[in-house]
Amino acid sequence: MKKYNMHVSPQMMGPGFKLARAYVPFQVMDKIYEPWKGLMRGTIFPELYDPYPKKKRSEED
Amino acid sequence: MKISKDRLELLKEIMALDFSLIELNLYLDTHPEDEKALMVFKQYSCKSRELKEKYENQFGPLTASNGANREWKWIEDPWPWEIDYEMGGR
Amino acid sequence: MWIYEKKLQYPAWVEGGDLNIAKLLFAQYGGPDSELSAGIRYLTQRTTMPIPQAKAILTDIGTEELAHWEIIGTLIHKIIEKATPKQLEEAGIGPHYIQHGKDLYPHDAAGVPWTAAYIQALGDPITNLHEDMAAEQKARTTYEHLIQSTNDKGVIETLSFLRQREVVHFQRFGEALRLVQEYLDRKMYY
Repeated sequence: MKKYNMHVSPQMMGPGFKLARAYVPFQVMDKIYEPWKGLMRGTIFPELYDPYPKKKRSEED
Repeated sequence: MKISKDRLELLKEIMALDFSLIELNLYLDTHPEDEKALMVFKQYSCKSRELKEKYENQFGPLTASNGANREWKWIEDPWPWEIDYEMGGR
Repeated sequence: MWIYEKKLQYPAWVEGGDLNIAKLLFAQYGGPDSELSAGIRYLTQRTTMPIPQAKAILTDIGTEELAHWEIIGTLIHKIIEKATPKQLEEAGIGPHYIQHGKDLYPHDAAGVPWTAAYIQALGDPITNLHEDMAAEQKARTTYEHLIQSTNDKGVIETLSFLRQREVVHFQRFGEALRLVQEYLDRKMYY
């Protein structure tokens, strides 16, 4: 009975992972942004770039 | 406070390079054996030192240990929070 | 030891005129999830980290947070420096002006002074790293709220930079946690 539509299962994590632990995947450096672009984005790593969309503040807010 | 176009351009180039260095620094702290990151770090580090020497010779010291020239330029204005980085018109 | 480099990490700028956001920015200058809290928190946890990677990351991120504290201070300074006492009063920064003039001061957006009670260091590296990861998320969220609270382009760009830094720091603390966990696991079976 698929009520909650969950897509996570213990098997997805593979054998070495233990319960009651938090795991963040290791980053592997690949390409990096040019220095000024990196500075403007807040990171030189494209895989870590997480742009935050700003909603335009209107008078109705 | 506004600074000369040459000074601002060079300062921004240094800021950008040093930011890459800090990013690589943090990455290397948790990946100390990443040869590629180490290589890029050394490359950028060299370039940063070069640009900083150029900047300090023309415009004054970035650290107090480089504070003396013929005068004690370390105290000179502007200080970093006073500079107009002229980002609005990009 | 700490050496001061006479430059900002980021070319912080403001369009100016939004005194309300100057008041709110104090949240990241002296509030619970501020850059000040982050810097002090990480720098107090260094001594009980069992592996060099963790000692380094706490030192280096802690130091970077102080540079961010400087950026927040710069934004506030740039916004309020030309304001009149009346304008500050109308923007709700009256109490700050009365007690501090146009000085910066480590209090939050409501004027509550910073306290070490905002941070934790429990002497356990696993616990501390979870505290640090949570801190990065809290800072990220606070930046998102601040970004939504202004239309000043310079403030938005500078805060977006700082917000992205929190994402990267979270990743590094997560990696440090993996390394510490692995180390402690191995030590147990030695």
